Amino acid sequence: MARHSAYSLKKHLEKNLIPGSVKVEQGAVLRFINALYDMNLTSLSDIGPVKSERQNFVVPPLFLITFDRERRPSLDTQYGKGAVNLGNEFEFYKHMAIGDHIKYDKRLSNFKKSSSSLGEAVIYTIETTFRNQRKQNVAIGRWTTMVFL
Amino acid sequence: MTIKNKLKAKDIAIGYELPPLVKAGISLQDLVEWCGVEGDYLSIHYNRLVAEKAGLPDCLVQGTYKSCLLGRMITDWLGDGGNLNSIAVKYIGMDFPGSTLECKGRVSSKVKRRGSYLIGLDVWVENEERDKTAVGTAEVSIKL
Repeated sequence: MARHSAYSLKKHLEKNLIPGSVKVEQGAVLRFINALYDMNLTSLSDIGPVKSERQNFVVPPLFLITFDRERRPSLDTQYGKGAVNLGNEFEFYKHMAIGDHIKYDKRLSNFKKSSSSLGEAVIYTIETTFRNQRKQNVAIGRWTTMVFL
Repeated sequence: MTIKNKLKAKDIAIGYELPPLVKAGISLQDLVEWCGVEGDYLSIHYNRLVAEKAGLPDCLVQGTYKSCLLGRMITDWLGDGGNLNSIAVKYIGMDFPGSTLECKGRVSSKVKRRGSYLIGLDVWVENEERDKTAVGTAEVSIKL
């Protein structure tokens, strides 16, 4: 994100950004779990409907962190001096299950100029509301990023 | 997530420490795998030339990876016995391949509400030097 586009975000403050949706797929959940070395769950059959007290596999709540991600192949061309993820927050309201369709709406909830040892920067927070196919609120996420200009 | 765990909230006091989760020797492969999981291929996480050009000693461990390790520590502890209600993590230090990260948590509050205990947690990630590189809070609920 070059200087111009980082600044241009400001005009979107408190406005809705482009929404999206994603299906909770078994394979994607398995890759998430395997990447975290969860040795209790290693195959697709482990994470399908299972016989447990819940009678259904519950998708790890932080799987939401993989939704709506930008594919950013090049630091140089998109980010100038760079960008840093300062933090993530999630509030969870409903479990997700394999096969759920999650829709998300985003808004820029905070935007401010800052300075750092690398010079000027902006810090912004994008708040995302996740809802399932039953229109139930699944979670709210907040993602705070610093972009060096 | 399917571990049967009969947590007894009444036995959990403020100051109680969660069983830590240790991720030893993070490799570049781990970081590449996490890029695939997230669908975010920012090259600073797997291309050492790009990292060096940015003035870093090596590729950076993703902050989201550390958040999710903390989440796993919490849900492993809860098992079927409770729910993770919220988590907020700030990334305050950098980690690089070869690091051993230890995820830790401690109970900071405990209140009864609507048939459950709401338990507040302080959570953090430490490197080998015992420096905290991610810090945060979380809330879980455990039925009475």
